[in-house]
Amino acid sequence: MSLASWRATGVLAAAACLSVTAYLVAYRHSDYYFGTSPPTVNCVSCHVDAENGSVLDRILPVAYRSPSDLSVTPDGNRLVATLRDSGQLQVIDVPGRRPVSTIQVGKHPGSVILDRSGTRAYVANEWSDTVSIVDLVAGEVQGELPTGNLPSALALSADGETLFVANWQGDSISVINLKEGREKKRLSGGGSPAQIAVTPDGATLLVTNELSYLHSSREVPVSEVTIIDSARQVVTSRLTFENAHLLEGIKVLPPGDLAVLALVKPKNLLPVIHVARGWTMNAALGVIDLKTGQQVQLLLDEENASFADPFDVEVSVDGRWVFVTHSGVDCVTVVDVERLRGLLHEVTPENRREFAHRLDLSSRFVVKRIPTGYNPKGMAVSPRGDYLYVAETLADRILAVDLTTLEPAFTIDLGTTSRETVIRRGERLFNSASRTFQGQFSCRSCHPRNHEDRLQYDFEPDGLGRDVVDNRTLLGIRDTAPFKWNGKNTSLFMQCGIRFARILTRVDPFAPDELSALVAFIRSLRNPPNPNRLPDGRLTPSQARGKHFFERTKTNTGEEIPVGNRCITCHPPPLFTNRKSADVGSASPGDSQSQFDTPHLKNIFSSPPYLHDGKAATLEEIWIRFNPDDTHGITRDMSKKDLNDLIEYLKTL
Amino acid sequence: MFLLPLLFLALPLLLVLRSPSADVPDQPAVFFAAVPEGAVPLRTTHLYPEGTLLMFKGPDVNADVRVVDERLWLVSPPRVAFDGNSVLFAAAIQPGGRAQVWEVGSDGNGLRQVTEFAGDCSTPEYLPDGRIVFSGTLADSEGRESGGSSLFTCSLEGSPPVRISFGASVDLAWELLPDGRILFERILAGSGETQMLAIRPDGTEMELLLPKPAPGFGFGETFGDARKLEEPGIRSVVNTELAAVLKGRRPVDPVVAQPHPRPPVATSVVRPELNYGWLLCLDAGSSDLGLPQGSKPMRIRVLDGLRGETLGEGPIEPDGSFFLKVPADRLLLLETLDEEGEVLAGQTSGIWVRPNESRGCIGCHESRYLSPENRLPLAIAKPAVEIGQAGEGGIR
Repeated sequence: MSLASWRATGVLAAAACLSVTAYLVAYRHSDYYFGTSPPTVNCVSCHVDAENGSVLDRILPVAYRSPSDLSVTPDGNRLVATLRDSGQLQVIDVPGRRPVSTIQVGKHPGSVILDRSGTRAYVANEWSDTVSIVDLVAGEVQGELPTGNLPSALALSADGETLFVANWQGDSISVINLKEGREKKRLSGGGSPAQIAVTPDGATLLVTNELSYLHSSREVPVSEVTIIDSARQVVTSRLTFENAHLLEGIKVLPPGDLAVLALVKPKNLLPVIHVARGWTMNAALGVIDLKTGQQVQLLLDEENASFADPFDVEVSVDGRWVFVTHSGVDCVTVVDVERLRGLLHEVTPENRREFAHRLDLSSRFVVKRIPTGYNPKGMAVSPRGDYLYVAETLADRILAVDLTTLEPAFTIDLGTTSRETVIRRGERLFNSASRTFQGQFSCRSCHPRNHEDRLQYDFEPDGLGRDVVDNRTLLGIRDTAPFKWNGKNTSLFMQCGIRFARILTRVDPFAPDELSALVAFIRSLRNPPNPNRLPDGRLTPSQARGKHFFERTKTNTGEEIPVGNRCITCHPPPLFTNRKSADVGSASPGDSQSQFDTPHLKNIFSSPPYLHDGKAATLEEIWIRFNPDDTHGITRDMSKKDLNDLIEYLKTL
Repeated sequence: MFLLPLLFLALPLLLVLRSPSADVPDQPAVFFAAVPEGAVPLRTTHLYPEGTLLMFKGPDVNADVRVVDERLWLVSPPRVAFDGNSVLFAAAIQPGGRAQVWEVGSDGNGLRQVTEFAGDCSTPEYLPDGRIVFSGTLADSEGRESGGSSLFTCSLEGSPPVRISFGASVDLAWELLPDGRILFERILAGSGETQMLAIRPDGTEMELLLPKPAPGFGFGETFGDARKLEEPGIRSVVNTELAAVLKGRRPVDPVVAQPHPRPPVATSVVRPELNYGWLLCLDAGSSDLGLPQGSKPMRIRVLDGLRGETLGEGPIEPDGSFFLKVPADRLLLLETLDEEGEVLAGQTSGIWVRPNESRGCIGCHESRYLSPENRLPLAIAKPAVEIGQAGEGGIR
């Protein structure tokens, strides 16, 4: 063979090796995101955009911004937006209708508020457990204030010296002295505080709580609005909303007599046999009479149209309109306040409950549904009252609505490419109610923050009133197949597939490319940092003792624990699940089976209640109430202190 | 799945070669029924006697209007497929013949018969899953016209029709709602009253939308002339030139053969191999009919909606809920009874469940504007009460 032939053969062999290597790398890369290699996905799905940006921009993965909350300076010239995905605060020139600068803050910034001068911004960094103090003149972060876990909303006292921070995961409200730069006290929340409203006189704070109280699995969900005296910095009352959860945005109407809030009315106690007419859930407006504390719930849905995922609430400067974003159906509901007040006069103790379930009332106070881009969330009204700004979170845009016409006026693009990666597409599908019958709900409706809603559901195919199951988080479930409590779904493709459409969404199943995108998004979800771990990774003495109990092979009296009854057997690291079903004696009388999928334990502290039907309100109850025969690990020999240690360790996982 | 090496080669081409769509919009055809002056569609079928189907494909109105098939003489308003490529209608091929469902291409060619139904077909409509729904007249047990009609679905290839509405009334499909349900008119047997209802294409979740058709919303004069004719693209057809071509006949129910949004496919829970379904009522005391003062429903009685015979009874729980396992595909009438067994309230129009359907009701004749309250119905804590041999191997 000639030298040229050898060279040609060598080049071909090298090319073949390179191709095979590239193929294997690509295959593994795909497998990482999808758990398989769906035929609907290729490199272009995530990496190539033929239309926008430079050649490099077209090939590199997209860094989305995802604006989530907005605030306007008192002169109306600057708009600031938190960018959830890039961890920044975006400053926008309103007259120029363009973004002018970004300031890096913490991880997953959510809420943003401005001080009275409009020169200082406070940004709640949900995944950093801090508040960034941003000097908008200098364009830099001045300092960081530590908060409770997962700070989601902020409010300033009337004198501007105290910052109140709603800690969603910490279920508390931090009271921070801004002069001293330290947390002065922490008030107890009512179930994941979400948003804060302040009365016009600054005297009272109203805090919505996103999740309902923990309760026995078949009780009516009750959620709380926490009322705080701003001056005394104490909780003065806890208003309860029966049959309501996902309490989100809240605002006080001028002159300060009423507060309005967005909420969802769940129907988890009913078997999921219908979707229409709110058999699964309703979007609603809550109204609080601040003089009497009386509350009224009114549906925002109509007889044959649902407006899923009500999120933020805003009020026009003149108090004439209330605006509600619906992140699931991409619109803003406009409420005529005068009409609303008129309707409230008709509410009596006798008809209050009926009013909360009437689908014909929204036509009496809703005057418009303004279409928006993908996933509208936070809002702000210009100080002059001429524009409403809406953060179109999954469109990377700000929409301005002309408040004289109630029509979209212009949009401000935050500069991200219009390219839609597979994961972004999945996120949009996840947050959209367009794929359920009449747009009744989105995936997010039951999985707020991609997590879970603490409720239990009765799905019809198992028989009405039977096999009630607790909702499960979607965070960190990438490698934890099978899914469902009965362990029947071997992949997320199956979990979100045809059966899901037949039982739940009641419309066409996701198309193969949509399903791939949805799965890629769900597999991309990660748990927020676990606050129960020490920064250096070591365990506290209590946690270390708990680890011993978790891994033990002998009881406290020295008896050998059967392998099948050791914690570590079914919950081995790193996911703390062996991904098999087991009978731990947890079955209830209405269950068709006694074996259930072994759940993973990552961030288990954040997803009460526990066991397959949510019967255990706390980790402790798993053993002190529902393990009488030591079928769910040997715990009878453990003291209260031993059990506390075990739980302290579990909280670190 | 992964042809990475090829992709690397194709990448530059992908970035550079982006050819815009070269589709040139074609002038869509317009189909309409042409009927004698003064003719109105038959009340119970919506078919136009002595009507025929015409099509028009612009821009020259006079030159392009033509009869789709001269043999058609009894036609229903045409319906356009979601892709705009074909048109569905019902027609008889000759006087005295049964009206069947037909499909024709949007170019006026390829006329073909879809159904071979024993009765008269009318008001066909495309379904988003590729099937069609139509109204078919019913025969009694001896093969005579019963005067009633029901909704049926079948494939476009003419698979055996599946009945999805039940009873002796006249059911006429109107159109597909944007949520994928079928809007249909029900002319009640006996009283002749009309109701507007919605139903999923598998026959489940029948729901009363309007006690009677709303003004300005109907076939014939109102539907064709008031509503459809306002649509851009149709307006130009109905003009004086066209009237001259029609020679005394009147164009009604025009449709433009162009793509239009496909509603979502409503998935089905029906299992045809079963002969029963379930009925869950949350509160039998919730009723717009108004129960006698001081009375409380204690039991629920289920009757056969056609024969009037009692199929069975079940208890009503203290919270007003009841849970029954009932025969499927059969018109059922429900009556609430007091503790003495006296009837407190009863249905006049009846309901049905499809095989394996779990039908939920908030109350008995409750306001259609109510959404259910979130509370655990006591009735589902117990097994469903079986009515009328609803179990396996029962009536079917």
